[in-house]
Amino acid sequence: MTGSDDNLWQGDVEKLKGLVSERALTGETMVLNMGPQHPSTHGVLRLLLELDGETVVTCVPDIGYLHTGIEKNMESKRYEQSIVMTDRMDYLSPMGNNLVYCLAMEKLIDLDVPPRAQVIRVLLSELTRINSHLVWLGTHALDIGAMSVFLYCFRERERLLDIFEMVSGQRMMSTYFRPGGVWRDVPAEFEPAVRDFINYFPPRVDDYEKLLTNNPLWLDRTQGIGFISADDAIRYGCSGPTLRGSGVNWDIRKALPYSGYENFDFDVPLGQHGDVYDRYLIRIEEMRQSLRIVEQALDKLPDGPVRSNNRKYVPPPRSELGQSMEAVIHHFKLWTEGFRPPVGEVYQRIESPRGELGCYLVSDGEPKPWRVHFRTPSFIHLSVLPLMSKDHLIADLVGIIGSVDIVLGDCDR
Amino acid sequence: MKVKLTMMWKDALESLVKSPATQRYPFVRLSAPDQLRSKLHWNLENCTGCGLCAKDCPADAIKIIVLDKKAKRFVFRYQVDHCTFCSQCVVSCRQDCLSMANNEWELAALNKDKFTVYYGHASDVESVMEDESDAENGEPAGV
Repeated sequence: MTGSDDNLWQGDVEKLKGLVSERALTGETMVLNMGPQHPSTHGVLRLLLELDGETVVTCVPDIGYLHTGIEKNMESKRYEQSIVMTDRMDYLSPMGNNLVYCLAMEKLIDLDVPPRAQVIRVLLSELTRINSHLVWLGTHALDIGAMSVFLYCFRERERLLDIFEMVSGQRMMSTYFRPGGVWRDVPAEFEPAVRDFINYFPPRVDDYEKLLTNNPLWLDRTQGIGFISADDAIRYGCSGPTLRGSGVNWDIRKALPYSGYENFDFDVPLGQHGDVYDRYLIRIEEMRQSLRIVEQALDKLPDGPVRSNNRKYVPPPRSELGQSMEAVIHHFKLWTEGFRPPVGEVYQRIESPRGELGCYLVSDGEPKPWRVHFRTPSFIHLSVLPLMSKDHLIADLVGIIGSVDIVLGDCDR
Repeated sequence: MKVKLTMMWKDALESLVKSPATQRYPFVRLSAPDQLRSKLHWNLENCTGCGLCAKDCPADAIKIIVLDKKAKRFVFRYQVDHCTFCSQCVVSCRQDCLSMANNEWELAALNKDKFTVYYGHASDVESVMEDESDAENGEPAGV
């Protein structure tokens, strides 16, 4: 479909001005549409590609195919009611989304979180990170052509989903973290299940590495592909493994600790070359480091309540309802009107599996937020795709998309 | 390379003699964990008709239809296809009359009518359903 031949190009060529080069308008290069229904675009991402033969000249990401209006919808719901919607943004890291929203809410109303709940939150967030990286590794390897890794990753992920189901009652849409703590305490069988996973998982990561890390085919497809320099990565606002792949030591868990991450001992892996291969190595190492955190969290899991005792914001336990009139009043008030946070705005960020996930909350003193905005890593990382894919072959583009680990639900809110 | 092959052979040989990792669903049905949040159930005995559950539901899946508050004639309309299974209603209910089953997770249906569930006395449910079908057909309620 060349720009010069109106019979072939169905769209309006004028609209492409500014997006593609002049060469496309004269028909020298070809404009090709990739997605939104494409197995390697990890969701409904559409890429408008300008190709010179098989080489990518320009790549323009087009989003909006999964727009759910979650942010706008949150404005019409009370603070607590919206937690259920955060699960559905980044569907590979539902606990991370719960966490950032709850932390923002707790910052706004200055609510305490008991130590046991803090540790449970960290533990489950790290298991979620492993879960997300497993899906990433499986699909990324599948895109590049390694089929068996996909099956292994999903086999391990099944155990994690069983743990999430055991804890929260749902495999994916957990809605488990609530303001002031977690929904309910973990069951007795939780600890043995996690211990079992801690013993089971490290040899599996070694297996993935055996299959991929020194595999000549894998090296050919990933080394030197999708390069981004440290300066560019910072300038474009990259975060997470995409930023650390370029050698920038920035992990929010270390730099701006939240939920007690400062009490855990873990390393932040860094890359050197900023290519697809380095980003792969970092995520593999992150799985090991996450497991270290999980083990420490399980060892130091303190006893005690899992939800704050502040009755202004947190409902009383059911056992109190039959005994205390005050508890009944708190319960009724909280579930009919909700709580009224002070007027103000907060921004809270966490290190999600994909990078910096931020939640911006504006309160006008009413029970419903005036504005909720999420700064999601997938959206930011889409903007570096044109830079990373320039002058690469179209076959490598698939590997590059996989290496920045985008989730379109996270991108379109 | 040898190490890699050893690992793959070991996996392949083990898989040959092991029973399959998958279950023969629907012939064999695994039990779900106790904490699973699936279909919502309502117990009329304790309900006061306060409507907190309906008010707190983020998905508008619940409606309490009050026929006679004094005689405790309530009908609980639950729309399974709207429900997000967050269990907010179970937390909100002061009288503990809502619960989420842990074994009714096969909720798919070919007919959309099956997604609307009515709980309450049979006669009350019947009259509410009649009224609702009349309203759908454009006739005034109670005709």
